[in-house]
Amino acid sequence: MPQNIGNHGLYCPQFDDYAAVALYMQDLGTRIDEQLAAQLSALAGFLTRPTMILTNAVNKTIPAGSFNETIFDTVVFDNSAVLTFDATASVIEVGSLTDPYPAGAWTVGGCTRMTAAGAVDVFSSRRFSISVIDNNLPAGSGIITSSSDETFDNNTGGNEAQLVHTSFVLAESGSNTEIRHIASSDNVASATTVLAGSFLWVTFNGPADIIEVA
Amino acid sequence: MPGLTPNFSIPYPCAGETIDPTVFQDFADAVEAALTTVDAANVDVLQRPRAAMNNGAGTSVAVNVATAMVFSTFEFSSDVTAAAGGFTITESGIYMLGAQFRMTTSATTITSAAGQALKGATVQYRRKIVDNPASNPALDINIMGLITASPADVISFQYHWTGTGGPEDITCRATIAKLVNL
Repeated sequence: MPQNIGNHGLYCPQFDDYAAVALYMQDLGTRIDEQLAAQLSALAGFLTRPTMILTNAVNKTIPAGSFNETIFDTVVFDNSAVLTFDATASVIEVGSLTDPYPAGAWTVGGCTRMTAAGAVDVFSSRRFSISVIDNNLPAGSGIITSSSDETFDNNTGGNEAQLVHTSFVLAESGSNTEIRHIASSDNVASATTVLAGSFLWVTFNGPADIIEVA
Repeated sequence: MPGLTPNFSIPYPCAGETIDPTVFQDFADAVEAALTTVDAANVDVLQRPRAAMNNGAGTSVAVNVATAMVFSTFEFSSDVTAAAGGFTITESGIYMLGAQFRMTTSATTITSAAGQALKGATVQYRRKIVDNPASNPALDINIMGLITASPADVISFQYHWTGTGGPEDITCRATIAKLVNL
């Protein structure tokens, strides 16, 4: 009977197996090939984790005292079918039926820069918020996590900048999760311009499970 | 019976009539070559381009002038060039950058302060805060975010403040690490 070796499915023949040395060597080569290919695939996958970066190629407008949820219009980087950009809604869709997202830890973040289009209500706020929404919940949709930043315009040249980031875990592979954003301004004296070159990004950090090898 | 494995072309020894030490050596050499390939990927995963630096006692920044931080202490760097003017990228990829700015207070009135990171001449990430009423605080600012970068791209960091008096000394620590290959 063959003797198992280690944890990778390899084995060595015993005395009564020697007649099948050729078949054993072929099987050994095949098993080594499979195990190394799996390791190489896992390493390559780590180096190309699903990531998407969006920007706005043109300035966007927040009406006076209002908000805008469609700031981003351009994909700067996208390396995975798991992440898709709905340009109409300006939403990042995470996972689909054909390309489910991997389970594990993700990080999402962004930055907006805003300048009043005209007059400034001194110390009026500029706010940028992102939300990760799970549309698979029994009750419908729910927010998994969110992050917001609020700054104030004291009429010192504009280019007010907000910065957000947060992490979340998707426990099981799936689909129908979204990353949404909202940029708002309570400047009522004029509209607020969200300057081109703002960013929204998401990246997969890796599986949340820690696999222990005995 | 096929002669080679599908992924790494490891030959099947003992496939023919001749069985001698050479066939087992060829097998071992092919396994060694496959392991070397995996080793290279392993090194790429473990040794990601990364760097951290700070500007020591600080960079002097005059009021109303977006001023580049001048770095002097290079904590570590691997496959990213860390220099006085910023980081220079050597490998294409998606990088996470970060910077922490602190104002060393002096007899000055501050109305706003902003820290920002640039790729070339283009602002990538920025945060601006105001002081109301204008006073004389430290005004810590932290920025972070993902960027795409290619070899020779320079990532620099600037600080800008408004108010009266100065100049202010701004300390800054900047970090960068490659997350994803292009």
